[in-house]
Formats: sequence, structure tokens, C-alpha cells
Amino acid sequence: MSIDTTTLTFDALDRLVEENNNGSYTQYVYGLAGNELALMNGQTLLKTRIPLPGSGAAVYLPGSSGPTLVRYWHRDWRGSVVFVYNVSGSVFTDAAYAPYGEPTHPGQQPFAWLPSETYSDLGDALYREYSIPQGRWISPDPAGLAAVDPSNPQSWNRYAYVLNNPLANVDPDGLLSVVPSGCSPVSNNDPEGTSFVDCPPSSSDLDLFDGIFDGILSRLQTTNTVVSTINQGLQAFSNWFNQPRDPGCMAAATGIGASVGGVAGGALGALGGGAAGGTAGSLVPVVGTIGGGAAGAMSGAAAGAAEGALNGAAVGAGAGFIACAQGTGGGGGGGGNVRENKQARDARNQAERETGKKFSRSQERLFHDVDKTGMSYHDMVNLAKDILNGVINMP
Amino acid sequence: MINQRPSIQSALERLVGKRAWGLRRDIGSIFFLEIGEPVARPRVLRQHGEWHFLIEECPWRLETQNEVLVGSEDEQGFIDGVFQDLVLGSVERAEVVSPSHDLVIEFSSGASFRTFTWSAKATNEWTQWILYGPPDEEYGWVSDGGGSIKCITRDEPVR
Repeated sequence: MSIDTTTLTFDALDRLVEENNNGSYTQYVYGLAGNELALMNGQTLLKTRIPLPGSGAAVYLPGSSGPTLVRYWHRDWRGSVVFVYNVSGSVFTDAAYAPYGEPTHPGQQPFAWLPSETYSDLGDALYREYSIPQGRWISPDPAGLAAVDPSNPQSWNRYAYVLNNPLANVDPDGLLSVVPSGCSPVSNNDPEGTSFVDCPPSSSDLDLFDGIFDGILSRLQTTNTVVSTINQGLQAFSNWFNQPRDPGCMAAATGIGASVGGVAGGALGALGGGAAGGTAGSLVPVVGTIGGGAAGAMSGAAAGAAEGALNGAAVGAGAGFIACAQGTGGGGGGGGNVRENKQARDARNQAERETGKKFSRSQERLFHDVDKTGMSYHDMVNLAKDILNGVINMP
Repeated sequence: MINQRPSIQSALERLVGKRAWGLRRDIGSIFFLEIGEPVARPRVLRQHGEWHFLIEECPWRLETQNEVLVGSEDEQGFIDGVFQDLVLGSVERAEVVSPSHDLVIEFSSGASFRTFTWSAKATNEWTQWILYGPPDEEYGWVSDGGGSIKCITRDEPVR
């Protein structure tokens, strides 16, 4: 199978085992549970992720004296990596995703157990590739018509991802929509009988983070080590939440978020409030159905708009607050490239100052070989320091 | 004894006739240009050519005689699209030109690549581009922010 210049080879069990990217070969090693365990180039380890309790993972990269533990991953209820810690316990990066996996802050970590190793926009399930921008599989369910339940229209589209219920379900292997571990299924007459769960996410990111740590707490045993890990996690979240945010960004993003949220919320509120008010008004027999309905609709619309605007503004401003977290990255044309180039230079120079070491040309190449999609400035400094300190070392 | 290091011009002359490929952007407008056949380097993160350029902080343009194909301040998606589709062919001419050692590479496809030094004052605080030589050779060449070009060994710092 070929995607652009990348050729993928699958084994007899239909698992991806080798990637040839323009002559650069990567072999995939799977764990006993079918999870992607390591990426190799021949006998050379490129990276490995050892599963940990609570859906976490320990990430090892090649070091000067063999595989070196460099990061810890922590996932949310869908298996999306939302926090990455350094070994010291400090936050390396954090991430957030829209329902179908589109990265919102800053993204590009594995979404819902679907790492993007083969192509940045594709999530690698064991048996299929998931298109993150399109929010669907790029190939139909191999079960064919057996995947279709005539009584559930969401199952009629064999390209659809988790019955189009991505906040409740996951599909790590590309074959079956399942409820994430730790959530309770509620029957909804879908083929798996599990298309809704009793742990739906809140629209608030703070609730989301609460959920993450609640999940960790509920799944781990309370040993001293675990308590220490949890404390580190809570401290890391506290650090993230309290980190300095650029005032200009905050003013713009929260303002824009509040405005957009307010307008959208107001419109939705007016619709909802108007409908509800109209219904209520039409039930008042003395005033009359038409007049009462109109009056009710007007007052309902006003109340609904106000409430909707307030809620929308709050959600919008919250989104702006999150977007202003340290090093949101991004950029584009029209000056963006110069800014990003300088950001990389500043990160590299800061790492040189902090370590007292200078980049050799092979280290500079390695720094630019690493995919920086979604990396914050802080991430890039850490990457540069890891290279200078030999934690990441590929001569 | 004076250790005479090879000049950038002598290095660029060795590129002539070699295949150019593998345009790949990192962040911003920083990208790699591979020259020559892919070389199996142990433990490299990505495949590189026998020779390769790392174009870092400098304005640049890929163009033909009739049009600019892509420039360093184009939208990143556009740059990536051009990089993906462009077939450069082989190197027909490569040199650095006065007055500020701007890099000029002409390809058999008719496309050419140019960098532009953006400062009158040479500084080693940043790097315009690096030319990496074959893996079994010691030297590489670095163009700093002012267009000065130095030849460095494998272990010498870039800046």
C-alpha cells in the first residue's frame, strides 16, 4: 500500500510492519496486546513506549548508552495523550483535541490510541488508517455488510468513525467501536450495544482535566509511588494552569472567544428560548394562542439569548485562555515563517546558554530532523537541550 | 603546518551532475535539500542524501526563468505542496555569488534556487544555511547571518 512517497507493508495478520518513506525504513514491533510497542530501523531502536498503569506510557528514545527514558505520557478517557512529562516530573508538553481528533492545543500527540507514525494526518489503528482532518477511516470496515445494523443508520457508513460518537467511543484497532476502559456502557441499540457511556466529557476543559486525574486516581493503587506520581501530575496541571500567559494574546483571544461565543450562544439561546417560550405562551388560554405564543416567544428568546450569550462567551473566553497557554506554536505565511524560524533559533540558543554546550552540525541536523508539528517554544528548548546533553543522540 | 580546508566553491563543484531531491520543510521556512543518492547512515532519524543542504534563516526563492515557484514567505501549506510536487532533476550549476555569498543552484529541470543575505553586517548569531558533505568526509560548510562562509569539521560548533 502506498500513500504519496510512503510505502507500507503489512504482515499476514494485516498489521503494519514496515514503512518505507523515500528509502528510509521503519519497522513496527507490537506488544502481546496488539499495541504498537516500538519503532525500529533494522536492529536500531528509534522509539518505544512501554505501557503503564492508568493508560500511561514510558517513552524511550535512543541515547548514547542505549535506550533512554525521556518522557511519560498521560492519556484522557479516550486514550489521547494530553500531558507529556519529562522524567523530572516537569511538563514537556500538553495537548487537546476536538472530538474527531483535530489538534486544538497544540496537538499532534497520539489521539484516541491512534499514533500518527506513518503520516501526520493519519492515525494508525492496527488494521486501518484514520484520517484526522476528515474524521473518518480512509478504507471501509473490512467486516463488510456484517458491520451494518439496519436499525442504526450510523452504522450504514462503513467509513464512519465509532458510529460518529467520538466523545464516547474509541476504536484502537479499526475494527470495533468500543467504550473506553473505565466508562460504563449504556445500551443504545447500536451493533456493539455500547454507543453511549456514563462518563461523557464536560464542555469545560477544567472538568476534562479533573476527569483525567479522577481516572488516574480510580485506576491506580494508592502506593507511595503512585501518590507521588499523582501529586506530580496535579502539580504539573497547576503549573500549566498558572503559567504566565501573554497579556496581548489573552486580551485578543479571550475577547474574540467571548464575542464569538456570545454571538453564537445568543443566537442558539434565542432559538431555543423562543421555541420554549412560544410553546409555553401558547398554553395560556386567556390571552390567546397567537398573542401568548408571540409574547412568550419574545420573552423566551430574550432570556434564551442572554443565557446563551453568557454561556457562549464563557466557553469562548475559556477557549481563548487555553489557546494562550505557553507556546501555542502555529504560524503561517506572511511573516509567520520568519517568526517560526526565529523561534527555532531562539530555542536552540537558549538551550546552548543553559547547557553551556554548542551545537555541532550533526546535532543541528538532528534538531531539524525532528518533526516539530505542534511543539511549543518550551518543547523546542527541551528538545535542543536533550540533543546537546546526549539524551537524544543519533550520530 | 597550515591545515588547508576545502573551499565552498570546490564543494559546490562536486554537486554538479548529482540528483537533487527530498525537499522537506521543518518549521517556518527551514528545509532540507538532498543532493546525490540516499545514503544509509546508521541511527539517523531521517534519510538524507550523500550531500545535503539545511536551509535555515535566510530569504530564499525557487524559480524558473518565467515564474517564481515558491518563496520563503509563502504560506507553509503552499510551500509543502510545491516541495511535494516539484521535480528538480540534477544539479547543473552551484555557486555562491557576490557581494554577499548568496547561494545559487540551477537544476536540469530549469528551476533554480537562490538565497539572499538579508544583513550588511556579518554575524555568527544565526545560520543561513549548512552544506553537509558525504558521511565519510570531515568537513561541512556554514553560511552565517552576514553571508560569511566557513568550513567546519565534524566536531566544531556551527556558530
